[in-house]
Amino acid sequence: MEGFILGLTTVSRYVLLLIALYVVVRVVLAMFFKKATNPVRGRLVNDITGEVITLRDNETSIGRNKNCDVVLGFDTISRLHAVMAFRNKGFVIFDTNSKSGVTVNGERIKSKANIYDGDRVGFGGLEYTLSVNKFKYIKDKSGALGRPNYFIILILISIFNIFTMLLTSFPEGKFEILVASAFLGMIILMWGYFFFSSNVMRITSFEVESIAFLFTSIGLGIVASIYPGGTLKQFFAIVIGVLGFCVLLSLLRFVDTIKVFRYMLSVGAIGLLAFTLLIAEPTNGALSWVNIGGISLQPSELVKVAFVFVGAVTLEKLQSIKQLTLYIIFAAICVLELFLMYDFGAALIFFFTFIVIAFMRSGDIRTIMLICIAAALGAVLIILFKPYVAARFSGYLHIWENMDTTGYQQTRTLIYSASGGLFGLGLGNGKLRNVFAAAEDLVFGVVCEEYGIIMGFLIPITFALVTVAIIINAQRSKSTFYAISGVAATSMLLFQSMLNIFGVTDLLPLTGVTLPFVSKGGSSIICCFCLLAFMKSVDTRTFSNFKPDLARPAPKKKRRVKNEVDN
Amino acid sequence: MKSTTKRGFIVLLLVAVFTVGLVYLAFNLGTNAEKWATLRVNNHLVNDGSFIGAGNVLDRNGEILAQTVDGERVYNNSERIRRSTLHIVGDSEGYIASGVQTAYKRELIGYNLVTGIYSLKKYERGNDVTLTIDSSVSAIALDALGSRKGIVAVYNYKTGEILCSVSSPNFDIRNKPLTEEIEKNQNGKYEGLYLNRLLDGLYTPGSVFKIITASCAYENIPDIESWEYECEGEMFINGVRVSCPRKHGKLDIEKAFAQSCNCAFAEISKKISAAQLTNTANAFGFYDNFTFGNSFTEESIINLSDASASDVAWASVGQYTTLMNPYHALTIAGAIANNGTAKLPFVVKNFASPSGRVVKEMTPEEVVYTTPENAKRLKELMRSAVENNYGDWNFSGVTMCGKTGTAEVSDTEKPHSWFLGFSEDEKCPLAIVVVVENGGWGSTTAIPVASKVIKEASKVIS
Repeated sequence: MEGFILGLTTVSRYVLLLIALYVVVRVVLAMFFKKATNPVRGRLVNDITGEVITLRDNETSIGRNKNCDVVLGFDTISRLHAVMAFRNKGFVIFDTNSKSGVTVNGERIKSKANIYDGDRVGFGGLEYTLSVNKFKYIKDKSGALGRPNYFIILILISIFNIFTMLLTSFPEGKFEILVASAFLGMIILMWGYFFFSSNVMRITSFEVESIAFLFTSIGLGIVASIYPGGTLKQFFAIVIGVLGFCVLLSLLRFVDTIKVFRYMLSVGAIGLLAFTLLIAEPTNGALSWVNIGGISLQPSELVKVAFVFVGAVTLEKLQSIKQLTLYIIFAAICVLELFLMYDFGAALIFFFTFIVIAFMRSGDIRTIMLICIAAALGAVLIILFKPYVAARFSGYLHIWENMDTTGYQQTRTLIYSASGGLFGLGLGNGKLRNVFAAAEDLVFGVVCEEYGIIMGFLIPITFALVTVAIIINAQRSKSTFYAISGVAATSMLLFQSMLNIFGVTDLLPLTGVTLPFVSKGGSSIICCFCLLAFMKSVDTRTFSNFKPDLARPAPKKKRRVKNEVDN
Repeated sequence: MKSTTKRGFIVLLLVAVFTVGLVYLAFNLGTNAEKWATLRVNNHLVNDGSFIGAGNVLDRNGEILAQTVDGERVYNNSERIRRSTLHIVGDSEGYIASGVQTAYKRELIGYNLVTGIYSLKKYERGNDVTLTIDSSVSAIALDALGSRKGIVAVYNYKTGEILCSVSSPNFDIRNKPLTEEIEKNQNGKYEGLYLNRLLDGLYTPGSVFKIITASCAYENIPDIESWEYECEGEMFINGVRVSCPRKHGKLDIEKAFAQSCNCAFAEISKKISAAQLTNTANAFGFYDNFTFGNSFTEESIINLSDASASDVAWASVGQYTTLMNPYHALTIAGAIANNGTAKLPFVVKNFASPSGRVVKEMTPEEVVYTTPENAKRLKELMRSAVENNYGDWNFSGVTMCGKTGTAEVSDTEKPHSWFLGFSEDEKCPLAIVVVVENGGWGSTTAIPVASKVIKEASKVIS
């Protein structure tokens, strides 16, 4: 048996790396080379000039300002006059506080109105007729590069799991069924998701999911190898994460329906953090963990998902000053609460994500600079009045002088990463695993030591490439919500990887955040999969096969909707 | 919509910062990986504070001096060999910094960035090292030195290989004295216990330095071959007395050197300037650091910048503030024996991977100290000293050249006893340095030690 494991370790050093390289390269290529299909939903045709406004996106802004999607350069048109939205029930026109108003079939609307094929829409004296295109199922027109064979990719990730299973299921020379079952479960979960989403959710591409499955497999291997007893727990977190991903992704189809939850979610998020602050016992100097019925949770991870959702879901009211102010207040409270928990890493991540969302919503660099300066001043004040906050980071840039105290984790990460070489020592052969928080904060070092430095660097490089791909794909995304939430979620994960990897290698102060998807930790894994749903929604193909209800409802119902004031 | 999504490109700034950080990290890792991975805190290399990352340490005949067995470092079975090779092999804890196990730690671990320490993990040991040391000669040298503090080192001046280097005080690594004992250092018994005196020692050279003064005389005094001097047993320079143990009578340079007449050399010192003497000393390697693995030897010192005429006279006979390192002294003997060019002594023949492949072969460096003509004249002086003064009977079977030193160190202690010499036989190209701390006369203390060691070493080499 021992000889078999030894031989397997030798082979696995190269096999695991090759699988990971293939999956990442193939998927990232697909993300860059796929063709985003963005079908024309309808047209507005000018009654007099015959000028045509093509409607593709879920939100098309109309106004005098050159930032609008449709620029109408007339004095009667307000800077942002109206937003033409495409929802599950067809087109909706929003009057964004224009001076001269918006008319539908000659009647001035209050704030919004559903419009249907043949309706006439007027902005400041310009009259258009809406023609709605018939819905067609859209074929993925990506070329061969843009459409990898996910069957092969899933088989490869399954092989990856089988290898890790064999390497970790004999911790004391005896077969551990619980450890092995976690890996088998992982394989079933992946294939199950694959069939469910392609048949029920009608999803044809699995780019971000493939990468998430690969990275969670790496993490699961490390957990199984260091804490065999925690393997199943980690696996269940992955299951919950994937379920959360599916649920959230399904809900995101109905953004205009679920957006009403934003106030509830904001209050809930603030409340949850406050609750944590009250009852949490200090864990490693932070108050970020709560223990409920034997399960410890890190509520800030769950709040991350709400934070992105609340920030992005404003839809047609994106430009509204009131909405942005409310979000700033929400974000400030969240960051402050995290700061009070001494969870500085999470506070930074939230602050950074807030900046990304606020900028994408408003484009107002001046306000954002002011907020940054205010935040920096706040941080300086806190450090001045609470010196122990600064003391927590005193080891930063002085790790080699304090190798056995404040620099212990960082120096060991570097020493053992270097020991692993490019191809690693094989899973289970490392020494960093004996250092505190090896599978959590220091997991980058464990990957470098046991899977090799190439594998270690592959993870952050992949995060960076996926981020670039998401930003580019967001240009074609159908809704501002998908674009903002997708970019915010991917930046959040990238920023968190940066804090983690640069923290343990002393390029940045050590803040104790996890490496997305790879680190041990249930809350973290669940949060990552939920954020993945936002990233997935950026892809136009994700929701393209759902048929909207374009028919005009019975006249009675129509009048009711027309007069309703949106809140 | 379109302006909103375009704003997403701001996140590329983060991607850029992240990429720069990753490149920096990769560069940092690439350049420092070996340094970091070979640190003693790396538990792959150290077990219970004992360095196990090395492979076997072998002497020139394949005798195992140290090896790792089941995660423990085990040393040679003979106590004499363990003691005599202690400072060359080094200890597992790294106290003996210049020992091979510490000074050549990186080569022994066999780290490389591509495979990390994988080979060490696989074979459960690092690279093997074959030394140039001969354990039997070392054991004889240990016997000859006995419990006295000092150093005996022999090397092949044609190849640079060190055959033995025994430093005292030493200890048996299997029964190491307690740390408290060492720290207490009763009667100075453990003074510089962890130092290899060959590399780290710095002694007043006494008459051994006359080799340098003689060389300076040959270079700077045109009629030195015909120069003669009458030794009265003492002389005065600016009222300061320079003395000899006895009246040497009428001397030329050869006799003055052979009989080690201080007065004659003081007279010579009047004919040369302090600067000329310093220049010659510098040409002969004073103030040079010689590398030894990742450590350096102590540099020999001669500082005549504020010296009076009498100070220069005392310096010319190896007193005043002059200090000499034994390794450096050995290179001087080697250079004179080898036409003015020293092959620098070294202790490691090669490193081989656990699979037996030689990964690094060591070749000696060379340093030119003087011209072949000058080397020949100095060799004649040193030959004459052995032949006419110390007696060839001390070194039966070899044609020895050499110079003793009796270096005064203080009024209360006995002088350091030196012998620096070499065999001029083609078949036995050995040079030797002996320093016995507070050993008394060079000829009565250092020569018998040298005699025993050269006898054994000449057997081994031929």
